[in-house]
Amino acid sequence: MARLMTKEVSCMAGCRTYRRRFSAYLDGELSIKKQRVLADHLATCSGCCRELAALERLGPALARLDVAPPPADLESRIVAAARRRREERASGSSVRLRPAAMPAWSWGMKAAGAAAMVVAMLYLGQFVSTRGWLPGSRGGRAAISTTEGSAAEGLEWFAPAPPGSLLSGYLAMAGQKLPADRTHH
Amino acid sequence: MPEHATEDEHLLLAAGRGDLDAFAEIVKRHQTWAWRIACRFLGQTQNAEDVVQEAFLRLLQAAPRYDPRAAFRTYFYRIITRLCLDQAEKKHPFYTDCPPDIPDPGPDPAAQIMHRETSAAVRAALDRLPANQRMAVVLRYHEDLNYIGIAEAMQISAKSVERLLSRARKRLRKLLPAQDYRENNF
Repeated sequence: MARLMTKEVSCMAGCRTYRRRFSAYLDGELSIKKQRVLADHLATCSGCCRELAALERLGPALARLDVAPPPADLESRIVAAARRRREERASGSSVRLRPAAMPAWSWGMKAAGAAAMVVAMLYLGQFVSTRGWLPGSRGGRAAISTTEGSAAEGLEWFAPAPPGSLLSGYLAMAGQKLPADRTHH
Repeated sequence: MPEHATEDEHLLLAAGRGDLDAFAEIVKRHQTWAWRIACRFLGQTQNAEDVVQEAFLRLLQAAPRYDPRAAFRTYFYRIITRLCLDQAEKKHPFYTDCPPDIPDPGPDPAAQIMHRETSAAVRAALDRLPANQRMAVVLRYHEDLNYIGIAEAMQISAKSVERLLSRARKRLRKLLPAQDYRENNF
């Protein structure tokens, strides 16, 4: 039984190879050598014969697709349209079927401008951010040491702060607060 | 297939020199088969009209550059095939249960009904094929072109045509109900 099953499976696998050629066979596009090989297989395989017959019947089925006759005035309309186009060309007022296309370089310039703007915004954003990249730091987060050994994150980028300004006050607070926090640990 | 292929080339050359009467003669000779390709492929007469008209106008536009070494028909097949495929990309497939107005197959009402139903089933099956498969089927079955002819019209390789037709047949076999084959003696 197992031997019989194996034989059947190998036959089906072989059938797939032959069936792939059915379409070219029906169209007369298969080489004579391949036609002979296929004919030999068909002589011994009823399954493939049925499949091929079903595909052959598609021809008569498709032939049943009817189409309406062309409109009676189709010819005159086409010729009239051709005359109109020629007159338009002659008068130099050719009507475009589609809106005038923008030149390719114009689209390129626009794309380049948009890309440059995005890059510029990203670059500037790094400087404005208090947690972004700063020169001299290796990671994304910069910790800047003040003279007192405390950390004021990013704010020294704006230094030297004028005395009495809000920024100088904040820097001073940050410098004093950190040691106090450390006492908790 | 018209039998005046050589005259077609002369007419097209004349049309390229501005002779609109020659162009009118080309339209007269080829409008029916151009219409049939477009209609069978698109399934809608309105779209087919637009495509056929545009195909002839493009033919006229390209006529001054026409090289008579290329057969007229090959030249025109390319134009109409491209326009049909472009049209199919623009529009979603049109599924229909109602066939277009078709010629009366005969006096027998039962035969008429059966004919219309079969035609509608084939139309619906064709509409469900991808556009390039459908075009290959129309050119193979209705225009009787070989693989090289279809390849030239669709501007693809003959091997691609073989693959398209093989897939199309496999799909059509499933889409067209088996009873259509048996009851209608296809």
